[in-house]
Amino acid sequence: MNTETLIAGLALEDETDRIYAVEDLGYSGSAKAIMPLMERLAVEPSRKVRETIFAALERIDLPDVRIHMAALLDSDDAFLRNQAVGLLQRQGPAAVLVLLARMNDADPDVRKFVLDAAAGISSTAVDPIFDAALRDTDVNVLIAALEHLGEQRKSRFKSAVEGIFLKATEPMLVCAAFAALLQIGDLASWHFIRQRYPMAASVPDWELGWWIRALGEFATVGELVVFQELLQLHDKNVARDTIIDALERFQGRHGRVQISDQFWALLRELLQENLAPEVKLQLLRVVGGFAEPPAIGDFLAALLAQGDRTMKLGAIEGIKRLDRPDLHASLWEQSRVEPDSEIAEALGDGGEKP
Amino acid sequence: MNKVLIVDDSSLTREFHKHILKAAGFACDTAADGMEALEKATAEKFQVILTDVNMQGMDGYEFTRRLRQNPEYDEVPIVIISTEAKELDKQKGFNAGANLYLVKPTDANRIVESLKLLLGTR
Amino acid sequence: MMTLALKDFATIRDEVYRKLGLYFEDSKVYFIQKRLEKRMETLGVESFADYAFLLRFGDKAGHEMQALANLVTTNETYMFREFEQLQAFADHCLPMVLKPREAANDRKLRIWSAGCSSGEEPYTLAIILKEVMHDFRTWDIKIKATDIDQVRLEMARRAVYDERSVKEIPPEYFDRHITRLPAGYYGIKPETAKLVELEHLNLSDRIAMRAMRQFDFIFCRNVLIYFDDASRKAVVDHFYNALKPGGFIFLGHSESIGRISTAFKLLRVGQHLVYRKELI
Repeated sequence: MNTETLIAGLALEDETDRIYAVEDLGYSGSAKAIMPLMERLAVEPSRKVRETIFAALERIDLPDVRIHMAALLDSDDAFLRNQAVGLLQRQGPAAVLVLLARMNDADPDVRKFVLDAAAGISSTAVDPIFDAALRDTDVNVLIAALEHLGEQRKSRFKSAVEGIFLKATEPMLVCAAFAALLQIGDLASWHFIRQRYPMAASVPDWELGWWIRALGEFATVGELVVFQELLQLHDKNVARDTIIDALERFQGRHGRVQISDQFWALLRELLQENLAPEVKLQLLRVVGGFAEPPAIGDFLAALLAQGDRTMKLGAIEGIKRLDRPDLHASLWEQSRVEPDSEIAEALGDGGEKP
Repeated sequence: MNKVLIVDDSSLTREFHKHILKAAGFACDTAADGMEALEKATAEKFQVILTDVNMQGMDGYEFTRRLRQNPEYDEVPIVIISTEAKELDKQKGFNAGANLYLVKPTDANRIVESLKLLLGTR
Repeated sequence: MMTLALKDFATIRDEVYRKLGLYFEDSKVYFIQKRLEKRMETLGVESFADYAFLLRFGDKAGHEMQALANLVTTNETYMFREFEQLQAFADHCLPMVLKPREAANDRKLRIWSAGCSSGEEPYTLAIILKEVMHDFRTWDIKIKATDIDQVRLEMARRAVYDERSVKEIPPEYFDRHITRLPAGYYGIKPETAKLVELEHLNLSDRIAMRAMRQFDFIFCRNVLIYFDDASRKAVVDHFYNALKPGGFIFLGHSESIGRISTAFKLLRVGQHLVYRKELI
């Protein structure tokens, strides 16, 4: 069917007929279809047809489409704006030029949408957009930039992020910088973080989660005791699952370290708390990653014998991490007689080194 | 315990708000776009909703409109929290059925106080 | 030691939901984590954080996402699979469609089992219709069952199954629709099987898909997760056009239409969420 007929089809009465016309225009890839599709978008009552128009424009994939989409970033219609952001995201590096041009817009909302579009484009081509955003005066643009560059692990912005972190006062901005440093920071960043917050008690409540994660990400072996201090803070709203996640990360970086008897006692107490099953399981796995005290191995072996299902699976995971060939061997023995297939499978894998 | 559904495409924002609200005694669940939020809100009853506007797929206005079509959510407070500060945007929020429109970044205490006020719990 | 942080697992979970429309139920979390760990070992990835990064920014063609889909889903098929969902269909959605038809004396029912494989699903639907529609003889019923795999379609045509495929059939329905065959096999009785019309169809074939119109129900369960983002969207868009207004689409119970399209209406039916095309 030729383009003219299809364009006429945009005004057909039946919704499905309009959808087909739009789809076919998309498949035609014709530049002539772009304006008629944009014009139809403005008057089309059906949500499905409007969604289809964006799909068709995406298929046409010409520079003009990107220009139209960039223009939609300041539309009053949230649907149009968000569809445009999505389409631009999927265009990849080809969209960078039109997006960069929009970073000059006086409206900070538009600049933020540029960042949202850039978030989906993973390529160094978008770096100029982040450069511009990190100098932006609007806090929401800055927050969006920090979040996205962190997720994409763009380490070249590390110094800029550290600078923002040290000076920021707006809570969400501090958290955004914190989150980015968790992805791209290094030991030097940890110095800045400790500079601002020497210890857990100096961290505002809403930033504590990130501070704990930073502990897991950067803390030295000697700083293991800080985890112990955190666990002792019963009066603060310190999320247990965040601490356990951070402990696991700490272990991942430092390998099998020793913990004190007091720390071990605290962890045993923690196991008694009302934790979600997957958190309990994780804690038991983490427990197995400590070199000392030796009591840990016996504790896990005992759990394996009499714990509930979650504790059993957690004990298995913990034992796998331990440096105890005798316990590994017993896991394998048990796998051959275990009736529960999921537990048997977990036991059977126990012969492998962690 | 009151349960809040936090809807935002930014995981940073979801986490930030979750942290604040958990500390204030709310149970929390999150969703990254309007459709996921609608599914969660339809499958389970929440006492209060906190939603962003600009998300991929279904935006916050559309989500609010559709949620209000569910009789279970006639009386449930819906708070929109968005980066957009224009009067036009706020009006859209109220037209969609929101009870309150906050502009990001909003002070943590303000968010908590607003939700508690709307729930009639001080 | 691998770092399997729960926060990063949540990121992976969100990314899978976004790209495949698949939601990890809480009860399956341990199972999925174990599979993930093994996959990561193969790839030399040390943490959930790195795996999440790989999925989000290092998987342009979507191959890793597909590998993950195959890892965490079971491909088995048997009759009356996802029983509660079928109950929701039979007890709630079917009457919602039939009642107005009956009132308008338009006694026609069309169902599409998209990706029917060896036929267990369409024959299950045939049994259900014959059992719950008390006056079904007065209705013009057709269940269109399509699949891309000719070998599976041939199996569907033969309509002969082993014990595994039939063990979930409710006992009270069994003898009415199933014939016991030699060597431990079971056949669908012709009276029931004749409701099903089998056809070869590639869901990505635009022309063929456009020929599918006027359906009241589309079942496409545990099929879409094996498609990439763009193809999945194209298929669901075709499903929208293939449905009559008020028609329902059933995906697998941990699947979601998610960001593909916001044009479907969401309904809660018992414990299930279903998608419906708007009535005009």
